[in-house]
Amino acid sequence: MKTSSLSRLSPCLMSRETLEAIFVQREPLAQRLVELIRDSTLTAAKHQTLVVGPQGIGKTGPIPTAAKHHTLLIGPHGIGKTHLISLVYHRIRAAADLHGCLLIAWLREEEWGVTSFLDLFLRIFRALLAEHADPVLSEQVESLYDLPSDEAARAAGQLLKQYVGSRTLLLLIENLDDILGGLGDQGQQRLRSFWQENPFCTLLASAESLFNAVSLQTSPFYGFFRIQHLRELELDDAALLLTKIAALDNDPDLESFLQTPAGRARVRAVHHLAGGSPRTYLILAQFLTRDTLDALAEPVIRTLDGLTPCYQARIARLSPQQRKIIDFLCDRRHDVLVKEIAQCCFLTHQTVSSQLKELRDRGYVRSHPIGRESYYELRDPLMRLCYEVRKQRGELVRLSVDFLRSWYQPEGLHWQLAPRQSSDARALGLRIRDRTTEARATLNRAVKLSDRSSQLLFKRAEALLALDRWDEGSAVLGEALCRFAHSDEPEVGDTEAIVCNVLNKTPDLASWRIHISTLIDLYDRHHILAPLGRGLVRSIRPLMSPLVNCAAARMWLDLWRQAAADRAEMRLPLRLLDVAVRYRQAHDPRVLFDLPVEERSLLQPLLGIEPGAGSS
Amino acid sequence: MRTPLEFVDTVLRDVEAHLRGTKRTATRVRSLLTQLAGAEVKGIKLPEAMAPHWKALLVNTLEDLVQHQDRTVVLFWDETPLMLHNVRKSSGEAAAMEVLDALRSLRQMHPRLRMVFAGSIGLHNVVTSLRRAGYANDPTNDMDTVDVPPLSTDHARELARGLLRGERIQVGDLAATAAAIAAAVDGVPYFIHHVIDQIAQRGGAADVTAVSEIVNQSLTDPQDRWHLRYYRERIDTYYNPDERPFALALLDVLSTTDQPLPFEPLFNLLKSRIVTEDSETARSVLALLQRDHYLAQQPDGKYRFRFPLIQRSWRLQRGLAP
Repeated sequence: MKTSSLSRLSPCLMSRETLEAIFVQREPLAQRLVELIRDSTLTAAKHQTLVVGPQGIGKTGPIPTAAKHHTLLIGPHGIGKTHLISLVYHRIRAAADLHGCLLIAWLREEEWGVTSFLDLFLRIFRALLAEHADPVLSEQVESLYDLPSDEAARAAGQLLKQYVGSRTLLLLIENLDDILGGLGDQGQQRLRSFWQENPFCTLLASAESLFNAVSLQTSPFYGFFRIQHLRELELDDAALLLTKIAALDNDPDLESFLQTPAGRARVRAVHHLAGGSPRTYLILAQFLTRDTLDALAEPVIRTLDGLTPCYQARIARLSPQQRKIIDFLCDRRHDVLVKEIAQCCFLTHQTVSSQLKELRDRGYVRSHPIGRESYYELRDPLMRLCYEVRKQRGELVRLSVDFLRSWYQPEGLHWQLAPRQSSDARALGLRIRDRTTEARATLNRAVKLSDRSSQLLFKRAEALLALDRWDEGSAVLGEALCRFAHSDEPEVGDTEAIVCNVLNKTPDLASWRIHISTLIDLYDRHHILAPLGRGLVRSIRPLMSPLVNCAAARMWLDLWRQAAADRAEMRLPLRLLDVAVRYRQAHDPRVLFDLPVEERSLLQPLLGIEPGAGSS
Repeated sequence: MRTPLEFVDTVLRDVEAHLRGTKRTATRVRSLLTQLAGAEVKGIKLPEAMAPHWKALLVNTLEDLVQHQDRTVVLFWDETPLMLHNVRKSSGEAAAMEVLDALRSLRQMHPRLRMVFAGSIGLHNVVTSLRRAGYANDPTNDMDTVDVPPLSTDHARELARGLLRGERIQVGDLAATAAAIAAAVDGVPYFIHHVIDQIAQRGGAADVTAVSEIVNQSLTDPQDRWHLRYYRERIDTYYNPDERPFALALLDVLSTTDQPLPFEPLFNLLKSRIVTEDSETARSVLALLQRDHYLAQQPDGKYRFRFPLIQRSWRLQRGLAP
């Protein structure tokens, strides 16, 4: 049973213990942030800080400060900014050496409606009073409302300075971009001047992306913050996070499965699709048991459903034209040119270009320049997948997950054979090629084996196919699938080798047609087309060999298409094969943009292309 | 020159021209050509059929040169890195690698054969791209690298004075005007010549004000007669896609500061422009930018533009406020 200590969407509601228990990847950063705050609080006028900024703001040389550090965490939605800030908050509160010399004011994500210097200070007072109840301060803040706004703003600044006194004020500000945006240029200038003249604050802030107030060199806050970009979780971090959550949820079965090669392979499949956003894994975790993780599709679809409100909220913040563009990109699934967006959205080229620029700056889209053109896609494929789940009731996503589940096989599950079996298996090995006589002799020896283990049966089938004994081989393959495809430890054979055999060994077109149909029927009969699809995709690498001419490659694709036309599980592999064949013919990297990013990244290594090259 | 054969063709012509002056002929290479072609190869240009044999032709050509000398032979080749870059683009990395290796081998074989490569782009740009393609050698580790600096203040002023006099330009205060020219263009002779050329074209007297006007106009000249856009263009040409955003952002940052920056604040400002935490790439791009004469690192470790003129130009080209 899942415990309720985890808040999937609001880390600030979690206890310190929970925050610490599920914290991954960023321990050195968290320690560094705490040290910077400690240094800002306990070290006075020891350092000279180089302040770089526009004219009038310390541009002419180093300015002594009271060694106050200001950090800005940058990262997209769900990357863990609030978790990190919350963790730092708790650690700072627990630091005994800072008691009495540090005040904390935490302006949360929901601090909307800051449109002036005064507004900001009133929010700071509210946050201060929430943290450090003080009736005297409360009364003094109330009295500000009796003043005209300009006078109130000045008085608020004075009051804050007076209240903080010789202490340091730690300001935790989430969505700093919204707050500074609300202040406008003048408000920002005034704030910057106030902090420079009254250096009693140390700031830890966050924002989803770089914004003008910190990145434009003419802005008051250019160079003010130490910028820290938060990176996504790598596979190991994601697996560790799920393991920690399983431990917290008191699910030892899941916890131990996550540490097996099979469990890790499942996480790898998720990581391929979902990337490294911690929030995704937090939501996924609530649907995970050992069995659901193994099956995979259901928890992924439920996770996408759980993420949908977040994405809807993000899209709601966009202008109608931008929403239209995002909707179009969700629907298209793959990269598109500006002109196509303009045409299909009934917008001018210039409008689309300028909106895409803003969407790119805000992290919604990514571009791939090729020559003078740029292709655009959604930066976060999960946004599109959530859309697909809603539009097609998850069918397309389910197929993708099933394929990835098959694609990422557990590492380390090599043929673990006893020595006698091992030598026979080698003899039965598929790379017999020109040693036919020797192979036949060893095969006959192997046929006499009384051990009918799954590995040997599959190997026997593969060897027979390699020796052009198609009818025998396919019969043995059928037997092997019948016996082992749905056993406790399912085996489906080395589909890559099987498919490559058909590609390399089959002498003519008619035989190709028959062999491909046979394979599809065999695997479909046992409802395990995904592994066959995996084998087909992996056979793309030899298909790219110069020994295979373009016409043959095209024929290969056509025959598979004909044979598998009505099988939904083969659509993704056939899509990849189609793009691979087209790329082979044209050597034009643009054909890859017909695939969504999660499919493209599977294909690129098979074509010898660096994944992710050329994107911005 | 875009192919190894074109390179050898040029070398052969120069060698034969030199040998004619001493009433000698390049017998070895001509004999080899006859052997390869099956008939005497007349004329100046090497036929395309000789392309696979360019290395042998090069070796024989230079041996013809060296064997008739009782002195050290020094070959001066201008824009060698650019030539190798073109060979790489036209004929592939392997061809460029072979040219470098062949030249090195010749230097090893003939101790009295010396080479001077000159270029406005560094050979390191070409070698780096070859290394990415698997080239493991260091083809110039037997050669000294000399950075040709701008003129010293005195020499720059002297050049400016000399040119002003030589062009018979009317100058009120020759010393002050020459000093202004030298300072405005950071002592770079190429720009000194340009300034004086423009003063001459303008006509009238030259003074400090005129110098300032000419420099300001040249920095925003739509025809870019000073080829200042080259500094931007070569980032696209010689820096790989991963390095480019770093190079552009670092130059943008440093173009808008009036004081040199140490690495940490520079890296922090870089991060306010591009999404990265990759300090190692930032450091290696800074090293490249120094080698390519954009930046200089001071003894205190701080970075700045090497030439204030280029800093101004960069800022203007990029539309950045001072």
